[in-house]
Amino acid sequence: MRIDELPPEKRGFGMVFQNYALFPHMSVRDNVGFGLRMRGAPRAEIEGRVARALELVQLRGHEEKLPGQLSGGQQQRVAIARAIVIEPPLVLMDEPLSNLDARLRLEMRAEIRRIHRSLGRATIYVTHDQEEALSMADRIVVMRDGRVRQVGAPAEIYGEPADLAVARFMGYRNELAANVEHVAGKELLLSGGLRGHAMAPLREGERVRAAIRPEDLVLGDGPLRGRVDNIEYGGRDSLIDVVLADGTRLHVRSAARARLGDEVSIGFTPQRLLVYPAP
Amino acid sequence: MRDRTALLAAPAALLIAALFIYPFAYGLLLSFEPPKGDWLANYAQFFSSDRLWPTIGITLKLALPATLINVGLALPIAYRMRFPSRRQKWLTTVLVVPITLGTVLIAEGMLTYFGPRGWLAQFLQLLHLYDGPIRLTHNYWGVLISLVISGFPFAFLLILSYVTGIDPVLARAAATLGAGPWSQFRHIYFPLLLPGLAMCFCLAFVQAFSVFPSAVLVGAPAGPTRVISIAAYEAAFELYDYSLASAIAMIMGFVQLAIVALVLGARRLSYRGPVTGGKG
Repeated sequence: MRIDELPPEKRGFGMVFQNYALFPHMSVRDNVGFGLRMRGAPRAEIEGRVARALELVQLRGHEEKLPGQLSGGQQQRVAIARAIVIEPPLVLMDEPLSNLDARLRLEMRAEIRRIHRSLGRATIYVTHDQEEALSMADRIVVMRDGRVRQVGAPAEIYGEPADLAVARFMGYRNELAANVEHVAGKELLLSGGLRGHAMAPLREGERVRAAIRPEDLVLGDGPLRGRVDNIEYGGRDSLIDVVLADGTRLHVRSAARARLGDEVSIGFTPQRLLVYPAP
Repeated sequence: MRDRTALLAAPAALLIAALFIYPFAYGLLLSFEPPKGDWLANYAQFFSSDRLWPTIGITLKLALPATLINVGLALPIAYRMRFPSRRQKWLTTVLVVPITLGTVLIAEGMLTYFGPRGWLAQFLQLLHLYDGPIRLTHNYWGVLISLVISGFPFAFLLILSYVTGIDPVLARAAATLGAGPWSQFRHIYFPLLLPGLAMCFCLAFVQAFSVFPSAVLVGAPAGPTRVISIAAYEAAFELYDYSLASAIAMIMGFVQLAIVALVLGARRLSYRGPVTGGKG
């Protein structure tokens, strides 16, 4: 039996939708109790379970309100309560925070973690936000074009992306084209005097792409030279764009002071330059 | 300084006054000025005459079933076609045609199709499906059929626009909570549609209640389909008693208003608000 051939009402998931999909004509209580009513649960049981679910999402006292009277964060918590009250074996959350503003998103992230821990129920959380994925997941599945690219713990995905596409998604924003000049185990010497870390078996002379995060680049001493082209002030540090002689644009996250037009050198720890075969 | 932007509404307000309020007030006053008798004589005559007051019942007996049929048929069909498709486009295009045709053309078509020697009768008799006489014109049924033909597309298009306005994600959310197709309609779509259905019922009813051409052309205007607008027409253009005609028109308007008020009053009991489930 394949689950994707079953109609949704037979799958037995709890689902939290991106735009909440609360029933606008039903009170919070009726929204949360809907799944239990559809299962024909006795009235007293519905009442108790709805109360516990609302307790869990900290919405006691809002039972009689209509969804339109709640804030975005509260609506999302109603949606979560509605999905978990039927105690499904699996809860599917489809980008549940993408409609909230940045501050509320951070709060709800912690809130969902808390609910998830106290329920102990398997939850699949779909997101485009790698930071959200890293902070919330026990295990991350990176998908692209409908295929699974990598499965692993957050630290694993973050530190060792399986391929260039996963690396790009996980924030490796800088890419350099190069050739392999010398191989010593995992240590590589690339054209241009770059040292890097092989993420796949590579041979000397092979064309490769090397990826590195903005925060792993350091302004100061190093094999790369370029001119500061743009600065985005970001408080604790700034995002500095450096254009190399060959036109490659590098993003550097640095607390160092730089001015537009400065000629700078950029260095990095060779372990942090991940080298993949050129696509 | 006073807000002079309100003046921008003046042309529209004048137009409404000229087109609706003035004729209404004129007719109302005229109905209280009968050629002979006191000021309520027209109304007294209407409710005492066997030729006049039964027209209310006759018209209601046509308009209410026609409206119920139109709304009742349009709802399930529009619901089935709620997702955009080629079928939906095709059907909406086809259904616009009867609206643009007008009742006279429909009546003419009905006479050749439903008449005693019409295509339907010939077809049924050819196949010996039904050998008795077929009388679907020049009686109650003729007018009812005509009201359905001209009123259904209107009800369908209106309800379709209400149905497609409801976020389909709500039904999918209900499905993940265990609601089957019937429950999705019963608990999600229907309560959200109710205000729209009430509005559609009112508009379709008012349209059907003022039936005139088809009551004459495919009905029996002397008896069973002598609707209230025929009575008004006769008073105005056969008896030249404009005052009585105005009184009949006022009574007609009052009956329509009463039904509409009843339906809209019931609508207040149902949920009215946004029909989406959160932020878009």
